[in-house]
Amino acid sequence: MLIFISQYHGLENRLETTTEVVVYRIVQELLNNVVKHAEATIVLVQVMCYENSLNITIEDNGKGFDQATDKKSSGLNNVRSRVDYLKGQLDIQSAPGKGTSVYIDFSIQPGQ
Amino acid sequence: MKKINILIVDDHPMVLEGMKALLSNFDYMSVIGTATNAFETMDKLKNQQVDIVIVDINLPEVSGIELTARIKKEYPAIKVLAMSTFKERSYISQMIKNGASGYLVKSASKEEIEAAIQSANEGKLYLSLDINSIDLNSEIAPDVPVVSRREKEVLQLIVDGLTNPQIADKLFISLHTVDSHRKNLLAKFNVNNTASLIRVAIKNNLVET
Repeated sequence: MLIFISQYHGLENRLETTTEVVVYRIVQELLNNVVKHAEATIVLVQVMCYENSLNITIEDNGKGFDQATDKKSSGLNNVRSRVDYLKGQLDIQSAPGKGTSVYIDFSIQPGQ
Repeated sequence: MKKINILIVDDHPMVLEGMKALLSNFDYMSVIGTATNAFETMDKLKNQQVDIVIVDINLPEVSGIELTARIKKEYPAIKVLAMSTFKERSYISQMIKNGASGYLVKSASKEEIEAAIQSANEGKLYLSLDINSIDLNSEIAPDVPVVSRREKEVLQLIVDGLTNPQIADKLFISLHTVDSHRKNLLAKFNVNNTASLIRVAIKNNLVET
């Protein structure tokens, strides 16, 4: 049993196709991580879109991980390379037993 | 094994007595008291060592939803189990958002109640089977927006009077990221400026003042 809490802002208009696909893949990858590894019961999915920027938060109440030692998650590396591709910023908060919160922020082209 | 100390809160004596009788079946649980409203509950928590509070959502004056937030604020270690006849999603999401460890419908069986108390005691989330069958893997649209961990941290520091650069320093995130979190908060609460944001944050018990 996993409860999804989702929040969106500013997604009324379509974005550039590449951006849409990359955002979709990032959210998919992060949710996949939550379902496969986190042992969480609640997950927050948030996509907030503004004129020039877009940010994503995927946060769970699961078992978390030690950021210093557990580095080799291929899922997270996929996300990292996508974020780099978009020249975005990635902020991961996690600790054993404390859940995981991933925040991603990047610029978008206005007026698409 | 240490007994689980339980306080039951409901405005109906029959529910209190019924619940008490039911829990007396489990020798590792001990009902150390009952209360019929929020005020009585907070009084009792002051003087007694309680592990789990079972709270009716529909209490007079101060609702169980508000009481849950209050208990979690003053006694973060105490686990709260919500109890109600309601099955509406918004009640469940509000209770969970306010820190409840689980939600029981009053039609729950003895086994379900035991499972709920056990998982709450272990720090896990429990939802009544009834609810699982209705809402399995479905989305819950919260009435009050949910804030992420980072947003909550940023919000607290805004309320504490820090500027964006100070917040960035403190949380080890970029100035741009602080600004994005601030923007998210304004959008979520549908407000235009920081003063209004602080007001709704305080009203919704999201920050400490």
